[in-house]
Amino acid sequence: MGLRTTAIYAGLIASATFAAYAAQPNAATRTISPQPFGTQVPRGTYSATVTCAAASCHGSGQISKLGGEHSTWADSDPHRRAYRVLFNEDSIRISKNLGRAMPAHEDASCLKCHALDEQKHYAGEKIDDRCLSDGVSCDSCHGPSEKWNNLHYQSWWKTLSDREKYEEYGFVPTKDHVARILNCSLCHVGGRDREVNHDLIAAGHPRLSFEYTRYHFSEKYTSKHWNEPLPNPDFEVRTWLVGQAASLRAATDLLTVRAERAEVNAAPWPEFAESSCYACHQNLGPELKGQTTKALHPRKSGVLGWQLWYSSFAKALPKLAAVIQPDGSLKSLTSLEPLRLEMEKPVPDVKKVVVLAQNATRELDAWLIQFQTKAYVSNLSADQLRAMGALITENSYDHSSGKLRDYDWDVLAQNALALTAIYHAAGGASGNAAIAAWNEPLTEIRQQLAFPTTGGRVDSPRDFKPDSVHDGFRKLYELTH
Amino acid sequence: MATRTTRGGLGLRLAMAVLAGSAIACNASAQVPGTIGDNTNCIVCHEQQNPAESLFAKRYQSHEFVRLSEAQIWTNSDPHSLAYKVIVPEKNDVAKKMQMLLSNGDPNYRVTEDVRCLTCHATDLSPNSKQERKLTEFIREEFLGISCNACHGVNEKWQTDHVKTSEMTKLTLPDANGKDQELTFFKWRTMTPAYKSEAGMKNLRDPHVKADLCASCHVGNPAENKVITHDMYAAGHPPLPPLELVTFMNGEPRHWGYPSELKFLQDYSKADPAKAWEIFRFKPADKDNYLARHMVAGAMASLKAEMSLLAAAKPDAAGLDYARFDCYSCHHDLKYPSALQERGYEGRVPGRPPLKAWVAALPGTVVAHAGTINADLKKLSDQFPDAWKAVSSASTSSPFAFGKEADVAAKAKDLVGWTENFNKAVGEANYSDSAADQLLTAIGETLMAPQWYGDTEATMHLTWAYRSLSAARKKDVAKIEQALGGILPTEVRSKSAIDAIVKANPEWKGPIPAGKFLPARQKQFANFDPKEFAIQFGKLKE
Repeated sequence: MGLRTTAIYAGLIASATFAAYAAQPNAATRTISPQPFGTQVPRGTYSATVTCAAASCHGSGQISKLGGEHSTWADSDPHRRAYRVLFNEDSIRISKNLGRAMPAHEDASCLKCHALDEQKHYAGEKIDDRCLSDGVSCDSCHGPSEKWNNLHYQSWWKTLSDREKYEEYGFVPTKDHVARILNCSLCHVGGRDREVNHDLIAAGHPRLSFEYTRYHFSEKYTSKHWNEPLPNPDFEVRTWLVGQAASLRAATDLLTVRAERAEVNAAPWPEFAESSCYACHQNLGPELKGQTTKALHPRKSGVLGWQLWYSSFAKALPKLAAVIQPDGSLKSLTSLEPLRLEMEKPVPDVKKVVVLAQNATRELDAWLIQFQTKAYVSNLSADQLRAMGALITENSYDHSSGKLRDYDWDVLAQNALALTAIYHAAGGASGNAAIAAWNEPLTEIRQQLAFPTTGGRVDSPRDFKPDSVHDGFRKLYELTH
Repeated sequence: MATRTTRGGLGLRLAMAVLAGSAIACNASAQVPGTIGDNTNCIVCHEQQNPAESLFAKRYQSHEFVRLSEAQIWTNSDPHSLAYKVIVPEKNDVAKKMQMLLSNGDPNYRVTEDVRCLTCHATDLSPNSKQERKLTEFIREEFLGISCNACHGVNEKWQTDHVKTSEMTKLTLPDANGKDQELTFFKWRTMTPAYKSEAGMKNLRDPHVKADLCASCHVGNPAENKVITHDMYAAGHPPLPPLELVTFMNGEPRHWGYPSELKFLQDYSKADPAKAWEIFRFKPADKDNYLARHMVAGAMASLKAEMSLLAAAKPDAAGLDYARFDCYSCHHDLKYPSALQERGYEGRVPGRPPLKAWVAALPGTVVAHAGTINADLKKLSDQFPDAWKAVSSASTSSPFAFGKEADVAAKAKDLVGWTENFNKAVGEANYSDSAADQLLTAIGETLMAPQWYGDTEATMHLTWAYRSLSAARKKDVAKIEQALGGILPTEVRSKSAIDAIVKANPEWKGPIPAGKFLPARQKQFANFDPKEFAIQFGKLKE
């Protein structure tokens, strides 16, 4: 009996915006089919960072060194500020716009992702101030440490499988990329008890657009508190690819919950955060997209593309995965397109969406299990990386018509990020010469996709013209073919 | 279909438009009213180069009742004449693109055969038909667009009857020197509006009839299949600017005369004020401000039209079409500080699109002011805020992002009914100059009200009304243009913008299509700064 089969969701108390869904009629059926480990928030008692910060354990004070994990996190990890931002002007404005009765730093719907120790909070207990002020700290990502804190440095701990550590002890095996990225996704995409919906975004919360490698290699996240055992090119290629599948899995699972709650009138529906932000959020005017089609995600005019950010590679991933896992074979997703068609109706049928989204989640779980079980190619060759680049450019650019296969900013940005990941995996400008040549078109595309930096703070691609990135993608296609 | 004969140009085209499906004798110059017979032919009378010198002027003083040069004006500079041409893909790239996007892969799809387009872009010969529409019910000629019949009525009876020489009437009115003068004119002219409507003529002298007619295309009318939807916008249809009737009238090359310009109406009104009001909805300028009345009628017609679109939502419909909501609540850059957030949500949850605010902002002011005119209006006026709130809150009733369609439809239907009652009452009320002044002040206050702050469309619509009414009260509108012209378009089709386009395109012949205005207007619209507007409008008011 793992954690999942217990009443994981029982007792969660609704907040006004994020209503509870204590009854989980589907939880039981979901566990019948095998799941990758790492898909849920592990339940257990969370502890403050002081338990980890002993000088002889993780608090050596040596930044970026083994033994200095807590010190490094405390020094510069962006997660450290997660709670503190709830006091800033933006957070105050968001709470005000939503008409919340309590400030953000006391609001359970915010604290779920911006702090630790959620169960206590939901149970109405006074939250440990230390846990809160730590922001997103050790246990947030590594799992509630009560059960494993005194075990994890013992030698037999290493004899446990990752699945056992996760299911029996609530320890999140972050060295497993699937479990790690699923864990990130619980906040950065959204999970069964936490989400950033359109109400919250409209009130001022930034949209979520998770892509693992972009976050991992963010300029805001330079000193990591761990050493990555797997070097590039394999690490970045593998985490990019696993990240695509895991994020999409998180998105379909979140959609299942949204639809389940909408079915009982406990959530907004349609939920606009399921759609591409900039399909709507653009000024009306000449769009310049004559060099584009909608071949990748066919949709009628005026239809908001469903989840274009997370599903940009849904069709291409099996071929891409075959390069790095030759023994595996990902089955093409059969439920995603029916789900998309339903979700792209003005008001999707919630009952149909629940079923289709669950099916999509199961199909993606099968992919993730393969990622957790099959062997990977190590030390990918330049040819293999170029082959992946070729597949990615085929995803974005149609050679026969000479047009981009979609014009949506999300799709184009995801495709650019994918090629950027491969480019960096190959060593960037100082790596393989053929791949280093991607630099120029990628920089060009990046400049066009960038949000404006003048005229105040702008969170959308003002004046973005899809045609402006056409040449960049065409060049990349040519460089990879 | 009509065939083209030797006489080219506008006149001929209009003549052909008159009766779809029947060939018309087009040798107009050879015809005189007495020979029109069953084939009505607008241009025979209404395309005079020198109206005062025409036979009709000499024989019937017709030029003192209508302009007689209507067709010339329409052809040379009225954008309605382009209505069909602009949807011909071979003639307009936007139409080409729209055809491609709306076809959804059907190679046989033609926008020029799509009834959804034709109801507003061609003259519809059976606008109220409940049957499946046939292409033959539309006059689809590039040179015709929205021609005489589309607005004045497609029924053949009135076209014949209004110029029946066998039914003449005589009336004695004072001439320019105050001397009695016997006039002979068609009996039709002084028949009641009900009689004229029965014969198929739209009684456009009634501002409410006129406003409803304009609103039927410029906002929509589900009973006449005039409904613009989000897929059409997304395919490239330009955004419909909010309808403010007087601004739209001023943007037109006016082929009709204001009553103050028509001697017959002046004289007739002096002789029989009650009848002049009954038949022509005309009161002398010292009693009634013609343009203020139109501004009011336009505001109410827009509200009614939008509500009728909402009311048409079927209970089983898969959600209200996005086009029913405020375009700019979604279509805006995400920037901070955000005017939309600063404005607040009036009980709405952030992130749920509201209805088009502009359709209620101006009526709210008009109705509140009308409540000061008489007791009947006061009673109706008091009902408006709740009636509007019922619709707007139904459309955002949480948790549904669009509210419940059936509920929205029911509440909107109530508001349509309310508007009809209000229009009846307000149609009989006097809009004196002092009432117009009060209304102008009230609109100025609404423009500064926090409720509409940051709503670009509502602000623009109110600004247009403010400008229209200022002009109606002979105030200096150049000052308005000077203060606000750099912040928002202060007119829907300004003479200066048209002049600039003509200057930049010296080869351009005929009316200027809306597409020429669009890029500059949309850019200005997108960059609208409500703070700057508040500052400049505040200064202007002082």
